Amino acid sequence: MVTVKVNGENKQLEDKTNIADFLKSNNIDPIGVTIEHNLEIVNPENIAKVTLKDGDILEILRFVGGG
Amino acid sequence: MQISLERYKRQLLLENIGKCGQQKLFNAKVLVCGAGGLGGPALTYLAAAGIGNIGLCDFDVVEPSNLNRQILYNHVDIEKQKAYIAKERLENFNPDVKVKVYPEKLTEKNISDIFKNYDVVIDAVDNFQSRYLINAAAYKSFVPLVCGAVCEFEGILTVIVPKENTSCFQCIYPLKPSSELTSKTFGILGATAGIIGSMQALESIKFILGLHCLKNKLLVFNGIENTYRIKDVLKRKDCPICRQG
Ligand SMILES: [Zn+2]
Repeated sequence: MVTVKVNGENKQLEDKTNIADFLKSNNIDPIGVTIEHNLEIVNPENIAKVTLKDGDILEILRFVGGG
Repeated sequence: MQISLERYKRQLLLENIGKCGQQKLFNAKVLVCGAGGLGGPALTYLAAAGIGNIGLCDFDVVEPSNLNRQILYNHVDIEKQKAYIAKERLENFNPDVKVKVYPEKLTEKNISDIFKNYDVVIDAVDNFQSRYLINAAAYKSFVPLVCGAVCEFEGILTVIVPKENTSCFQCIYPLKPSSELTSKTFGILGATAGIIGSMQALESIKFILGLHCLKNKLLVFNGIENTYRIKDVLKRKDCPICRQG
């Protein structure tokens, strides 16, 4: 298991979870969010290539633009 | 203009306002872009507080589907232009307030000329394209910007101060949303828009008074879970809007 800080909260994840897996298991549609991994913005096309490691920081922010 | 202070008695009692703060509010010029679900409550509370000069930018007409959240209008206003109805309602609500309307679409051509007349701009529009335009223009014109947005039960809020070289809206969303996402119509509940719109009025009033405001931070509100999260928004080194400050 690895511990990843997601939106400020520690979460225990299986080893070798990538960002795409994480979003899928949390029912988050990647087109609806901005993803920041260790302060770097992740292009939606690359989310399956980024494997989460112990101590990583993930920020997932929904696109909110209505009024 | 001789203004009766009786109407403002309860806010004059506030240590952070008093007569001196109230005068700052009377003298202030605030522009609200979008007079919809966010703009309605924002405009109403700005007028209630006695913001002396309010600008209002909206080119839409009232549609029946607006009425679950756009509290400045009612069913007899359908098909009428929002800007003029809003002006009438707000000036009747508080005759101390002057409302100037811009019943036009904001574009790269007209936006700087409009923004330069204001001390604070509130972004209360309903789409990402206008939000990026407003953010860029605010930075270019050095006008503080209070951004608020809602989607379903969620809301976000941040304050951008170009003169203090803060992070900007494009630092929050550096990659623009896909057309698939922007063309989708999301649900919005009036009460959620009311919370964020009211907070936009509050942040604007605090900024005018020189009080603490939500700079370099993003408030994320979730109405289902009853959570407010405040995250830091770092200025991005590669941000095309704010990197040079
Ligand atoms: Zn920026």
